[in-house]
Order: sequence, then C-alpha cells, then structure tokens
Amino acid sequence: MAATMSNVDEIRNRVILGEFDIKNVHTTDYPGNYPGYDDTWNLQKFQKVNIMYLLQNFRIDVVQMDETSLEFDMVGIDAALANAFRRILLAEVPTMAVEKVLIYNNTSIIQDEILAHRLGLIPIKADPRLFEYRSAGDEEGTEIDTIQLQLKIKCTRNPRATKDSADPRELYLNHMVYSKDMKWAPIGNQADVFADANIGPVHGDILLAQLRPGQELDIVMHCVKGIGQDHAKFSPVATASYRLLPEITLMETVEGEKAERLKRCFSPGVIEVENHGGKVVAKVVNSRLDTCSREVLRHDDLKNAVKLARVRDHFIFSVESTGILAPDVLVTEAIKVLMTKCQRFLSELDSTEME
Amino acid sequence: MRNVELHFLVCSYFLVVSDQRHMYVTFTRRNRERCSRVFFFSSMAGIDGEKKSVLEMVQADGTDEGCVTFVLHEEDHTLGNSLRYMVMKSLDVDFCGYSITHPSESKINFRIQTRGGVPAVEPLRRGLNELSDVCQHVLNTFQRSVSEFRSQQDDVMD
Repeated sequence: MAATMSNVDEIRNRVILGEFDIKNVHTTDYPGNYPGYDDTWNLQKFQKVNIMYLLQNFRIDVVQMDETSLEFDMVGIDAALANAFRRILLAEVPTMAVEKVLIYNNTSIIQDEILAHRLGLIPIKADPRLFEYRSAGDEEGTEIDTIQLQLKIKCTRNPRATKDSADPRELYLNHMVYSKDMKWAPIGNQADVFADANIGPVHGDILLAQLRPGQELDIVMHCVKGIGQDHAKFSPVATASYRLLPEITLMETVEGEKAERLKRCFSPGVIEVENHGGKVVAKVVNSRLDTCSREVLRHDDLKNAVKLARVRDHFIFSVESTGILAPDVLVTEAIKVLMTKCQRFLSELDSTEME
Repeated sequence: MRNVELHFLVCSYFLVVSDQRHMYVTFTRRNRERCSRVFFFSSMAGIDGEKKSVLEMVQADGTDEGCVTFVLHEEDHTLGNSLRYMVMKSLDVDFCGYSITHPSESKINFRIQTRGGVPAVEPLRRGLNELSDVCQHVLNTFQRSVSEFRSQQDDVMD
C-alpha cells in the first residue's frame, strides 16, 4: 500500500487484519523511511514521563498479579524487544532441576529411565540465584552448585484392612508415590545457609509412581542449575506469551438486527447494543477482550462496517510461573539476562580494542 | 615492544600468518580476484589455553571499515533481532541485518554497513549500549509499576 498522507499513521502504528491477509506487519519506522518523521533512537523521548504520568511514550501497567500468574501491558516498545523478553522468559532464566538420578533400588513397574525423566520435570523450589552453575567435568558436585534429594519408600500390606475390601487405599500403605515423599538431604553448610527455606518440590501432590506390596524405591537425586535452552525442565514458566492490543472501529452505524449479529461475531463484552431513541445501535465497548477471530469478515453485509486492527506497540503479556520464582521476579530476571548479554559483547569489543 | 613468534604457512592459494593469539589469512594475488577476505579472529584464551571466541569480525579486503560482518557465537534471535532494531534506529547505518547460518549451530552473522565512512564497530557499540539502557529503563518502570500495584491492592484490602 502506498504511503499517502492519510494512512502513514496507520502504516506506522497499526497492524490491519484483512479478510485474506494481514497488512503492515513489520516495523517500518527507521530513520529515513518517512520524510518529515524523526525516527532516530532517542532515549530521552523513550523515557519521557509527564509529571502526571499522562502522556508517556513507554509505560508498563500491571493488570493482574498473584503468586503464580501475572498479566501486564507494555506500551511503547518494539516487537523485537518484547519478543526478546518472551524468549528469555521461556529459555534463558535459570532454575534448579533434578539432573542426576542415582537409583539404588527400583522394584516398581515404572522403568528406571521413565521414572528418572519424570523426576527431572518436577519443579524444585530453590532460589537459583543462590546457586552456581556446575563447572564442566565435575561429577560429584559441591554444596554451592548441587541440591541432594532422596526418595525412599516401600509399599506394604495394611494389616488393619478389612478382609473383603477391594479399595487399594485401604489395602495398601504407601502405594502411591507423590512428590512430597522427596526429602531434602542437605550437603555441607546448606543446612545452615538454607535453614528457613524449605527446599523441595514446589507441589507435593505430583504422582510419580504406583507400588504394590513388596515393591520399593530407593533413589538419590542431584539437582543442578540450568536454563531452558538446554532442557525444557529448566524453564521457570508454565508459559509466557504476549498478544497485541486489538482495535475495532465501526466505519458506519450498525442498527437493528444487524447490530445483534455484529455483537455475536465478537467475543462477549466487546460490542454492546444500546437503545438510542427506539433504535438499537451497536457500540464498541472493550476491544481488549476480543480474541480477533475475524468472524465478522465472514458476513458479507457486516464486513465493510468494521475495521479490525491491532496496535503495533501495545503488548499484553501473560506470564505463568511454575512456582519456583514469583512471576514479577521472573520478568525482572529476564530483563537482567538481556542486559548481561549486551554487557558481555561490550566487554568483548573493549578487550579487542585494547589489543 | 612485544616479542612475537610468527608462523608462516604458504601455499599457492593463501598465506597464513599466525602468532599465539591471532591468525591472519590473506589470499594471494592469483586468488584475489575470486574472493578476497582478511579474517581477523579475536579470541579469549580459556583456562587450559583453548581459544573460545564469542565475537569475530569478517571484513572484505579493499573496502573500508564501514562494511563488516560480525559473527556472534552462542546467540540467536533473542539478541540478534533486538540488536538489529537498535542499530537500525541509528542515523549512520545504511544496512543492518542478521541471519542464523544453520539452525544446528548457535551463531549469527550480524552485518552492518555504514555511510559516511563511519567504522562499523561504532554503531554496534552504540546499539549495545542503547539496548542496555532500554533494558535498564524497562526494569525500573516495571519494578515501579509492580510496587504501585501492590500498594494499590493493600489499600483495597484494608
């Protein structure tokens, strides 16, 4: 689409959802692309904050936050940076997870490797910032880089069960092995350093294996620090995602029965039908709730009445933590990881300059 | 003046000159028409003397320092795309792009072409600094926003 005067702002700021394609997807506001616009990077302009926080270029608004999930808006930033934060949340924020499983006795029907795989995926509640990475080639592990956990459980027949019951919960003791049976075995000075932090699995109700009388498990586990890029078990988020803020504009007034149909084309709460002097008229109330299914474009009489777009620099982030770290701590750590990457290359550039 | 021990390896296609830390390869005149490059390896010696470089520069012979391809090791789209955006926002960059050479290798080719004779290391350094500043500002804004939200919630609960 040619950039005429009227739609320059639209090309710069909006992603248009059409019937067969999506327009203006890429960022185009680089210096020199648009005459009359100064698109050079200006940190002051990015950081500009009005005294009343009314007109800002960059802002973050937390919408909802609890211990495991966080939803916040990041406005005024480019997709490249928002995506970098999302990728780092998924793959480069370190956590502790079970890496080495020493199986001394496993007479259950769960195979050793299946059991070891399941143990690795359990989130371990230990602050990874207090631990170091294990140095390459070190097999044993020290107190600064390893957490030792133990799982020792044996299933027996319940002597107090009634003679003709068929319920395994009555007949057997310890027949379900849960993650709460994993006990922390402190090494070195960990007992003093982490005296009040109860290190262990985040959730105690994860079923690991089922046993019958005579079967037992005797396992020692070593947890190390790692990142999601290495193995997904180290990822600290259940998921972290973002979407762009939808924008729905009505190009013409939609009344009567068409207004009702228009309301049904969008997610509930987006379009409301109001009564204006006897006639029902459709009005856009909250376009943020829309999931952008573009259903309205399937109706020939409604598709020209609506313009569907997304605001290109408004990101609605949703971060769900597995419980190891609080979600706001995770976002903070992710931003710090990106800063560390930049510093690493800056120091590398400086060291080559010196030579 | 540093004592330098130089090793020479000459064959009909290229001349290799190396000392402990750098290796210079230049194509001889016969081959120069086909492809001329001067490789400049920058490396950090590891603890047991192994060379583990994270940043290399590849520059074509005969051009000025304005058109350089940087090879960044152990990186992917996370830093590549965000750094590309920050470098593109600078006025004296004519071209900036990155590519992942092969998905199995974790390295990116990051190319910068400047105008006005500016050495390409400058926009790269500026881009890294600006990206670092953006992250710092995002961090401050986020933490402020979270503490505001928390105090708002405490007010509601009371």
